[in-house]
Amino acid sequence: MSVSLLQRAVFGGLMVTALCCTHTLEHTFRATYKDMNTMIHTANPAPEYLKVHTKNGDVFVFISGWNLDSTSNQLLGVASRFDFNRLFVDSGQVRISTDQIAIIETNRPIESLDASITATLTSLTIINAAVTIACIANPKACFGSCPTFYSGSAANVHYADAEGFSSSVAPSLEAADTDPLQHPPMAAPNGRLRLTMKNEAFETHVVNSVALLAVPCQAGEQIVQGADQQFYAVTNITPPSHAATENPERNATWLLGQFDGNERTSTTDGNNLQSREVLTLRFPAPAPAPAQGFAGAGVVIGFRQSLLSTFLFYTALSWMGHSVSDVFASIESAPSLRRAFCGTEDLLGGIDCFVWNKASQRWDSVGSLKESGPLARNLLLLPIPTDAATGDSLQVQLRMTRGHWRLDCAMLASIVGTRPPSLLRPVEVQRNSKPDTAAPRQLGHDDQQYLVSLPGDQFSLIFPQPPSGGNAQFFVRSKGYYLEWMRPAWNNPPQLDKLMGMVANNPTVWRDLAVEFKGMEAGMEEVFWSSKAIK
Amino acid sequence: MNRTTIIALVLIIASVVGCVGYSHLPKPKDIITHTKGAEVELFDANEDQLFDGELLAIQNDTLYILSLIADSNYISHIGQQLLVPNTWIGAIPKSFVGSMHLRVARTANSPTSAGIWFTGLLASTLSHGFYIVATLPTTLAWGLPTVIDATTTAFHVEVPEAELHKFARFPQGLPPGVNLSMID
Repeated sequence: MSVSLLQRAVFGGLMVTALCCTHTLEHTFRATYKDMNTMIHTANPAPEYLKVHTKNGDVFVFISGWNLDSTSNQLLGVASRFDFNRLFVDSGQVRISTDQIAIIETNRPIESLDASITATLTSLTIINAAVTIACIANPKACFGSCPTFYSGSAANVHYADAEGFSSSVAPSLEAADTDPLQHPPMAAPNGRLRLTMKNEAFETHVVNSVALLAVPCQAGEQIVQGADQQFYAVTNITPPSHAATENPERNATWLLGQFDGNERTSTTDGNNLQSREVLTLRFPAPAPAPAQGFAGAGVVIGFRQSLLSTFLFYTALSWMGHSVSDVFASIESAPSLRRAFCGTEDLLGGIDCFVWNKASQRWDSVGSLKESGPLARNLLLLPIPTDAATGDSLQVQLRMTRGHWRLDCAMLASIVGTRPPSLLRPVEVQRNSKPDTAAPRQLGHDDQQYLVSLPGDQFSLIFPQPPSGGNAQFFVRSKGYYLEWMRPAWNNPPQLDKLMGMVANNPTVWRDLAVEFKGMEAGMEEVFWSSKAIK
Repeated sequence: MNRTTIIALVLIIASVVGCVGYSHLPKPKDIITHTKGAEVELFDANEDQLFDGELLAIQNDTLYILSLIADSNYISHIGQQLLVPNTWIGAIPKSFVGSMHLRVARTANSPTSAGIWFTGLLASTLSHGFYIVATLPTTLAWGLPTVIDATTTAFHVEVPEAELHKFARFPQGLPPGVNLSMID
């Protein structure tokens, strides 16, 4: 019997880790008797199992009963025999003369710790399985999506400052995306600015360019990106005095009064994913900005998508099954098919904004807001006609698909004017804490040079100091596309008829999708948003 | 140390947990058929380790113990003086013994399965994405002590000196005619 020193060392360390739990048994589970008569008259009840030690050092193990022949003074039964080194000799029916017996040993079974181990590991298994299932059902909730940008100290995807080109899922869908940074970029040496870009998903990110936009602003002003891609300086940001839908719901006014992460959400229609809702807002009339002048008013909406579009995208991928590469090749080569796929997103639509025209007594459209991605919050402005902003109050309607959008804020602001941004390109890049000399060139311009990032990659992007100095608000503009990694759960026979039904807005397919999503909607939200979901 | 290294380390530890730790002792369900002696660890009056190994027999106020490790560097200096020539068996007079630990069995019947199960649980946290920051520590904090305790610990027995012999390989004492140098 020998145990290696290494095993001893490892074992010793583990014992320390285990805080040296001691489990003690009563020694009485084992007894020895000098002879059979003593055992028979002492042990009560008679033991079922025996170990009979003979004078030559052998031991016989009886595990299926035994008998004592008092006439011949022999112990009878089926036993296994072991020599003095406890090597197995033989087994079978034996007759042992009592005068060969040196001592008799009996043992009662002892109770192991198996039950407590099983209970603990079963509990952990249930928890882990629940999280695993939730992550399989909704991978983006667990693994993120698209390049995520961090300008502050946060490193968790739930607090990402921006996410890039969420809807660019194929090379032909490469697009640019501009997002406001929730925090100013961190300071780097020599007055430069640092931004972190991560690949936190099972995706290959192909990034064409990343630029930091520094938009100058005066004290008291806030810069908001317009739906027309201009940057507006605004003041007098006013929360709504009332906000309600046509259906009874909890008053959402307080939720929409600040861009603070408290979001107004709704749930989908269980039979129709394209069912829309109308949220009516009432504002006091916008006051002109006294010092800077008044260039009109605008509705400022803070929002991001729910997980509905994520569900539809992953369902589409699962329906592509193992034909996913063929389908994507077709999308790449056939513009009409590409338009059809992109049109699926249009079936759900954006946040359509209307203002009440008192003169003509009707709702006039002022534009629509749309930005893909369930992670980073967007803040966009829609200018409204000057004549709509007259009078003592202003009514605004937001029309959108139920359960598709999360509204963080809906406010009215006075527009001071537009501000041209300074475009800052990365001058230095570190990939996973190591210098990447090619990356600044790859990310610098919208050209044919791409930076490819794989899951887990993290880039530290260093930008020069803004030329204007003074106060500025920052936005990040990224351009590229990403390739979703297929997962085993999707590697099934394709269901292209369903896929085409989705694309062609087939009522049956969409009703089935509505039912399926309704069944998991609450669970997905719980996993992803925890306490942030407010219905 | 990056996350991958930490996870790899944890997985290795978890798989080792199920394999080491009193593997020379019987499992609880095998105690009724196990034929070797219990493990005894002897200490002198100063609580310095004297010898440890399988208790072979008690005879003439001497404990005969077969070292678990055939390595003289491992056996304490005092213990080496007490080795029976040409064997790894220590013949330790009872008067030398200040105290002892006696271990008779492992605490779990399926320590390897528990180790594999736990390793699987750790591996499954890799599928939790960002939530690994919560599920990995939870699994470690809750599961590791349980698995280590169950797979690397043994049942101890406190036994009066008069009954110590029943945990020896030869409870009757050294069998006459058995050459100690032939025992392993």
